[in-house]
Amino acid sequence: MPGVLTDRVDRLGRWALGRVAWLPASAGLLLAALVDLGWGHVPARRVMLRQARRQVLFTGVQALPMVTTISVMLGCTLILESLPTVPRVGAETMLSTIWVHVVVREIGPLLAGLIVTGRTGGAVAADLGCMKAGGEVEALRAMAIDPVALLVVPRVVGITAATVALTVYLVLLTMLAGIAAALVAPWITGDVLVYSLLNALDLTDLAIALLKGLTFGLVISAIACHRGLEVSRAITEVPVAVGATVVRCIIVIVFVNALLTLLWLV
Amino acid sequence: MSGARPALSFDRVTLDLGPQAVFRQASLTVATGETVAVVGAVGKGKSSVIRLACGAAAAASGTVQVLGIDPREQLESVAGRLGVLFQAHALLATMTVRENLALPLTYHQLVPPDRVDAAVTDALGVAGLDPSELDNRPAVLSGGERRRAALARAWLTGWELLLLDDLLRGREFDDVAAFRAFQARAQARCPAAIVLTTQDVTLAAEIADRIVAVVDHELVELDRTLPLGELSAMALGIPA
Repeated sequence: MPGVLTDRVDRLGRWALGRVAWLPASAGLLLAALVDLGWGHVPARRVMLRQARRQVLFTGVQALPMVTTISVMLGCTLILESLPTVPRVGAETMLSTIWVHVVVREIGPLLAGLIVTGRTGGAVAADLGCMKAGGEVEALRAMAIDPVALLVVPRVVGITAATVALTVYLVLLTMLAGIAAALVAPWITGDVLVYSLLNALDLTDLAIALLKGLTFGLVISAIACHRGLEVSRAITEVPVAVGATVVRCIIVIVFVNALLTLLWLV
Repeated sequence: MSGARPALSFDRVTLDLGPQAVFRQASLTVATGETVAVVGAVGKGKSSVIRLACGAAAAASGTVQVLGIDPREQLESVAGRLGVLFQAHALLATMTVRENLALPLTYHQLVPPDRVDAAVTDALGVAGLDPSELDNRPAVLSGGERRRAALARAWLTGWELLLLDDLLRGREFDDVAAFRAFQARAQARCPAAIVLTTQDVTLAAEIADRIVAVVDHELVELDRTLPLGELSAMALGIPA
């Protein structure tokens, strides 16, 4: 009987480890990409840079209309919702601090990470999955070209740079939209709010937002590239890879976000 | 001594793809300057010869040597000497034809940066593709044009050994004369071996020095003096 129990626990343990094997594998791929970036094949850098620029264009620049809309709506909604409500619970003096903490440290970076996950994470997994199924990765190896250097490094660089930029853009635009809404809303004394908001915002808040943007960019690019390259030669695996990438990115981003906040508070 | 070294050699190679046996103790030697056609019915393992030779597949046992190296371990040392045309063209979809062709040259610094464009244009001419396609992405090319672009890429790096998978009359080369011109140019720049796979036994008989068939998981050289019907029967397992 104890033998059966041990066997079951053993199998459960193996199953659980198998379910999260992608986590260290993605981290390993990220590490390999960063090593390649720092000490890799020098002639490949020009090609890498060109690919990274394309990634920034797709992940960052082309996402601007969507991020702008979301930021403006979010800023207006948050301020219009909170301003009439907060005084009722006697927390008006804390409003600016709460607002800055929520928008700059939490919602802004998290939302930017989720937008990049949805727009880019899945697309990168699909792109690399199709390349794997179509034999393009194999062709690179046959030409003695390192797929990590050519395919993973530019995506890691491009996605991370774009995520940081989008985080800053989203945070600042949300703040500005909130301030603008407060100024035009007739039932709020907007100028007081603007002053206290700017007072509450300090560089630490922006540094936390930047750190989160950087971490989310690295996480999304590593998970998406790893899952895309996991596809074998069957094109039917590609949509599965896209779904898995989005789910994995969301889980890790939410977890990392909480962890970073916790680390800062401790 | 280096002149005697074969461009490609399989020594008692065994290859399995999943549960399916592809080769059992298969051997093949291709000398420098030779053109060898591998023929066989669909799914018998013609492309596996190419995949083994470029390191994309690993033999379960036996030895594969390409230009004197193990392609699974030291492929970088033969960069610029080995060119591969894959069955699926395998051009990078996010790059233009120009970028695809320039990639191995730039990555391995095979030619000076100011000569890359000229080399790419020249290769396009060799493969019979219109230079106006250079700035197009592979997605807008026809199937035949993609194959020719991929052939141009193989040409750029295949100075000593060209591996051409799944040649078809009229697709990569308009006719046998076009292939012969390609062959002559390859030999003129550097004595090169060409290993090609095709299902078209007639084409193989017209262009290859030797014909090897995949029969019963082995690589068997066919007697070229046999009538074409008999060659086809042996290669494809159909009645003569």
